[in-house]
Amino acid sequence: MKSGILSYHLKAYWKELFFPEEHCMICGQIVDSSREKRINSICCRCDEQLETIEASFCKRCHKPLYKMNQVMTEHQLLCEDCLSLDTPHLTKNRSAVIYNDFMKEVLALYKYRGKETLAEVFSYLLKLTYDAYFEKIDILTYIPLHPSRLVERGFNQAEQLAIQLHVLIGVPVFPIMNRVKDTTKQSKTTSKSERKKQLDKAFVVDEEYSQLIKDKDILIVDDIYTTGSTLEEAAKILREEGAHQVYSLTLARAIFSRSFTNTLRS
Amino acid sequence: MKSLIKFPLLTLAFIWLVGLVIGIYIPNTHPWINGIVIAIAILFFMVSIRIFEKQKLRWFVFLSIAILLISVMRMQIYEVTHQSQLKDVQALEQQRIGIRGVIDSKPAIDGNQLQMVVKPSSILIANQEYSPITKERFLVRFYLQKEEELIYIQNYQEGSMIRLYGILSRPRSLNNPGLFHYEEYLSQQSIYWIVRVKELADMEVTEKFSLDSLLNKLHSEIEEKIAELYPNPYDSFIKGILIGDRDDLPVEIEKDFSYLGLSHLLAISGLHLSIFTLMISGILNRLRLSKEKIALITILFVLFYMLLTGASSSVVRASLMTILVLYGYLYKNSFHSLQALGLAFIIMTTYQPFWIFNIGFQLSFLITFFILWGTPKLETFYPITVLPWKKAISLLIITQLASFSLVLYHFHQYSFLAWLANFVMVPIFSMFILPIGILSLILSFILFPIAKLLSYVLIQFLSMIFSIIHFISQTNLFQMVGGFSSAYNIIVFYLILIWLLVRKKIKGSFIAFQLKKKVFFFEKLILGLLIIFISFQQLSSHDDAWISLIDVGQGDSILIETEKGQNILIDSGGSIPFTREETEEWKVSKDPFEIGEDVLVPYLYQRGIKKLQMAVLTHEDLDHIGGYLTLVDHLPIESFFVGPTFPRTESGKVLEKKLLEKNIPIYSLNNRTSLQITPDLEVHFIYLNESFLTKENDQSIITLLEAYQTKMLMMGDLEERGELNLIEKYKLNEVDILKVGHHGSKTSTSQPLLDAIKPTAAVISVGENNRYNHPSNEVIERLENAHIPIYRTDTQGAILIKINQKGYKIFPTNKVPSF
Repeated sequence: MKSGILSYHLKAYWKELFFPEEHCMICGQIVDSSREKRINSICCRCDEQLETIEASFCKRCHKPLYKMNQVMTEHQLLCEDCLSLDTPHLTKNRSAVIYNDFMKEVLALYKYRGKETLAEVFSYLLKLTYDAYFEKIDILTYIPLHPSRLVERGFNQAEQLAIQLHVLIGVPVFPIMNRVKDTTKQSKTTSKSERKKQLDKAFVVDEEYSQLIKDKDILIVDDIYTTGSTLEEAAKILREEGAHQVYSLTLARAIFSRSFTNTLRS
Repeated sequence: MKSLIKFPLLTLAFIWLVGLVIGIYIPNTHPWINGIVIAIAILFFMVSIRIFEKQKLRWFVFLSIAILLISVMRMQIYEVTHQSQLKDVQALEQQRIGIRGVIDSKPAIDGNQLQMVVKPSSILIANQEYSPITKERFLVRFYLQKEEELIYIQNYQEGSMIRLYGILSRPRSLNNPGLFHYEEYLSQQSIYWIVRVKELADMEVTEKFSLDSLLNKLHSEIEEKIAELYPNPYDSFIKGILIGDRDDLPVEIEKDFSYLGLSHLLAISGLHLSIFTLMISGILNRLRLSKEKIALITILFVLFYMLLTGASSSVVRASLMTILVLYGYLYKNSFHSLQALGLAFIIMTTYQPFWIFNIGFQLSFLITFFILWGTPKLETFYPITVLPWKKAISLLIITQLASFSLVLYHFHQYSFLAWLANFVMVPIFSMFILPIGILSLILSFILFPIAKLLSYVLIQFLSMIFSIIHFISQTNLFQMVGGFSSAYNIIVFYLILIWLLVRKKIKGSFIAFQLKKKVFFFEKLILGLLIIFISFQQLSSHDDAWISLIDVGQGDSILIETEKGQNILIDSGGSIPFTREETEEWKVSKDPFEIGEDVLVPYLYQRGIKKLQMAVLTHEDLDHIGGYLTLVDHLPIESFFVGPTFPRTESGKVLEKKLLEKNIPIYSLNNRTSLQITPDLEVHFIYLNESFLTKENDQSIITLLEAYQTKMLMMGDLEERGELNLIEKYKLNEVDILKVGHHGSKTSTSQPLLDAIKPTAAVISVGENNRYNHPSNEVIERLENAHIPIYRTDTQGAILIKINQKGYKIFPTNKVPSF
């Protein structure tokens, strides 16, 4: 029995020395290191399924053009949702990947199984997006959870993402906002106006930081951008407290917008 | 950190190399200390296995320490087993020795000289038989007297048993800083003595070794076929690229290729082997064999080919790597080529640690490393998207960057035409010349006429290529000389290169910003230090004048480099041919040793000199004029200074003709000529034009150099009467340094001269064990009595003198500052 373990151990040692293999941080399969990938330690299949939003997209909310039922011209760089807003508080949003089925699964793995290597992958994805679209950000912050929800869930993943991004890029992260209103889950609400009403005054700026954010460019980190109303509300509060510009960076971008579902129905 | 164990064997190979180098510098210790160290290493290894855990690095740290200790010990043990067992140099010199052993190298015949390495199985000295206790080998030399003897010599083959008698002598070599050192070169191959065989009857081949002789048979059969297909210069070229035997290749072709950085095409290298293996596996693929079988057959072929071509270090490297990668293939594990490179390095240097000094080995490993490791990184720097172009350009850039500094270090010159030449020639070579060559050879066994046709096409093509290459290499355009005088510079160069390649990746990598900040702070710190260091170096040395007494053996050659960059060469050494009458064609060496071409030009290049402002010939003795005869072909000279009697010897006339051909103005010096070269440096040439001085040596030009406050008097070959005349006529004051006249002959350096000029240092340019017994004991005594320190080129190598405002400083070769 013991010798069996020893020989297994030796085999693993030999293998690591002569044929070291990297395992995908998402799916655990062997990584082909000769292929070019955005992130080196994930396998090609996973890399393919992480859809980034490139080429044409809404310049404000990062909604991809090809997912819209409307053709955008060069001059009209905003999607219809963004155009309908009178005074957007959130200057721009960028998302690392599209919230597709694969990403849904991966996020579920992270949330419910607590797979640690995934947090690393997420932070890499966020850094790539940050490097591509942002510069001169003064402060990082994140969408807070209501204390009761925090107790229920155990951790705030937006906070974790923000901290990990901070480690990679060095911009300081502060818990600027507090959530004072416990909103229902986003998926359970149907109409946009109803949700807007719910979100109204859901956040307040922590007094400790109200001086700090004056005339600063702030980047809010969150996991998913769905309709953008949460981020818009947070941006509004921050702007009211004197922030110069407010941006957001989310890991995933949901694309089942109203107009899309409408076309499906009709 | 993780990237260090991405290729663990490559990292271990670096550690192994460091260990070997440490092993050279650590003095040899007692065997039981070695034992303890090895035991500790094994302990570390076992701990490494015990604590192995894939996620953590600790196991690798322990393994690295174990590897480092073992590599240090490997070098130590190698040094113990590879030293001469014949230690009593004084007593053994010129002793008769009998050796029974194996021929351990391919016997090389050059002109009438036969040279081979013999590994002894027993040694006979003064009727006493010894069995070897170290792995010492002997270089055996034999000069053929009659052409018929060539036939007997042809039977000598590598691996044969031989019995011989000869005279022992130590290898001697000229010792100039940064230049090829023959003695060291031999000792790196465990050769410490040369055995000269007097007569053919003293040698006898007793037994032929079977495996080697089988290979030899095949080798010579292929050679014959090639000779049938190709006429003279082409057959040796084809032989060189197919079976690694290019002994007969004309020196001109070799020099042209080497000038354009194409030497790697002439010898069998990794490129050749990869083309061969590609062809083999391509054919086997057509035969629809299984992948395992293909891999196995290719491995066998590679082994066979390696032995057939004589296993040079670059072929062994390429073969080992191919075999390792294919082995991985056989066991369905992918063996990364960088891992294979690391393992090949460890295996090869375990077998022969001194290979790390071999130029071919160094170039082979460095270039392969940079191709495999650096190309993907380099490709991120430029936005070419067309794949074939991208590959070709990256390959060119990376190979040239990787070889550039090493080539400069070893050969002291580098031509930027190498970029163009390689870009054009490598594809032509690998896609046309080599395949056609192989095809014609294979067909010659089956369908001779078609082979002949192919060879005809190839010959036409090659003759065109050769003449183009010759034409380009004659232009001497874009040539760079000097630089990289020491190994430290090389290491710094490669570290910078590696850093530049890896820098971008680190910048974009996913490591914590704080670590990244530290890394780039460190980069700036080192860069700053480097700039400070270099500018300090430049500032402190920019008004130094340097004088070198170049070691040319018996003879004189003195180089003056002024602080403003002008260069003056006084005399050029040269050997006195013992038997010039032996002009029979077969006796003439293919590339005879020439002081001018083989010592002076490399030395000047090494000092960064491409052009001489002044060249002076003190008188026409062969040990002063000899080097100029070949030097003028390689280096532009602005003006040439001679005595009024020039030319009066045969070689003087030859030189004059050459100078006139090259439009070099010749100035005749008489009495005293003073030249203010720079504000701080003046040169006086004195020619004693006295009718009573009839001796050739007394008609030498004397040079008095005044640089800052230092005076140096160079006497040429002036003898006693001339010296007296010099003192009387020119009322010489005291000088600081005396270049002793006539190589320290007793006819020069008289007491009156020493009394008059009172030097504080004396330098003598003289050859080791010369037949005139220079320098004479009387002169040495005279100098010693006057308490004048003596520096001599025969024992100390080239003597360099640095002169600046502070005075002068003398450096023998082994003390020349390396930075």
